[in-house]
Amino acid sequence: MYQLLYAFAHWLENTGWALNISGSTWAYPYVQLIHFTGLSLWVGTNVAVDLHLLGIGSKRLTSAELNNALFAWNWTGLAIAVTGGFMLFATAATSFIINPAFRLKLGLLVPLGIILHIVVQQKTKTWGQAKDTPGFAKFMGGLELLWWFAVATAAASIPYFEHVG
Amino acid sequence: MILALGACSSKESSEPEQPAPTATVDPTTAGAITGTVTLDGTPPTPRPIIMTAGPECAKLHSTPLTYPEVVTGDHGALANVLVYVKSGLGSYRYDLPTTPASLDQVGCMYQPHVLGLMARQKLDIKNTDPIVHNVHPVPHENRAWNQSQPVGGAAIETEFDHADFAIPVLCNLHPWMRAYVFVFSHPYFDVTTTAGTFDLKNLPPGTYTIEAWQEKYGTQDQTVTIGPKESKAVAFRFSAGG
Repeated sequence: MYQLLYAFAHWLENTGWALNISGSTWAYPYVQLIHFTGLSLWVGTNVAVDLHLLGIGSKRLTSAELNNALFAWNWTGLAIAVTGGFMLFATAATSFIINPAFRLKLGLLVPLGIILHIVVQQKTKTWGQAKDTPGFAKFMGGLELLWWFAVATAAASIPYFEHVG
Repeated sequence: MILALGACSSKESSEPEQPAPTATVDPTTAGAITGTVTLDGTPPTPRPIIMTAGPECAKLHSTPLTYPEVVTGDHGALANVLVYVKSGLGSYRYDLPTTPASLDQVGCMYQPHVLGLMARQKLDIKNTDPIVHNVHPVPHENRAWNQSQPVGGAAIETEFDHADFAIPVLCNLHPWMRAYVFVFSHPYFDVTTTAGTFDLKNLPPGTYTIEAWQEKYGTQDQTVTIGPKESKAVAFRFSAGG
């Protein structure tokens, strides 16, 4: 399985477009910009809804209404973040797949985080009907906040694990 | 149709094949061009390298490193200058060196910073750092590639098929890492040390354009004529003012 993953990563980082991104002075920062713009949208809209579930923020809208209003921005943000992230990954794929922090982030925290998010997003349609959300909704909102904080921590830790591998 | 397009894009098929030269340089008449490269004026203050993108690299150094763009020795001697025969060579066959050229990654820096080798000469790229690196040459005339080099991993054994000028070799994990590799179809090149000297040996008699390349200051050319068994010295002087 690892051999297959390594072969894919090696192929990916040697594709023409990946070599062009990493070999260019300007392309790499712009790809980073794409990734972080997408992340800002995705995490920002997640945090807004999660805080609302916790009872923090404006009460003009219910959590369900806010969730609904931000739905398109939310998933657009993830699509942009994944596109930029995939391009960044492609510049040094074989190095990333042996990095423990990257493995934790992309192999565990992000997939489970997206599942958790889908559950929270769907349930908020019912949890968030009233101005005051139920206790379990508050718990789930808080959990999702912590979860994406953990994802960001794992991402920021990637350079600290370059001595492994 | 695809086959036809492929055939049209092939360099080999569109150019007439040249017969490989068979004559070798006669060592009994060969001479040499030696010389020095210096920098006039005060060298620029070296820029410190910010290693925030690689905190594990920063741990390897007690004081910040600086970019090796301009490295000088005593009396303005300029290091890391690639001096080579740009033109004037006849058609000779040159044997490839039996020892491979070597590029290492030490303290999250490429060593040497400037390297010359011949086309199809073996190049060993090592990683003696306790850190993963990612070797990425960006050639102009050769195939680009990108390969991770884990801690304690075997040297990457490679070669360049064609002559190429100032190939940046990057590390995609550590953006400050950069070496320049020059690939020649002949053996007449040298890189200056901090003594600022170079030595182009075993040159057949003739008139040559000698070029000196420096990362920050660009290139300088000089025309030099040597007779049989003659050795001539030339001096290149770059100006710190630009």
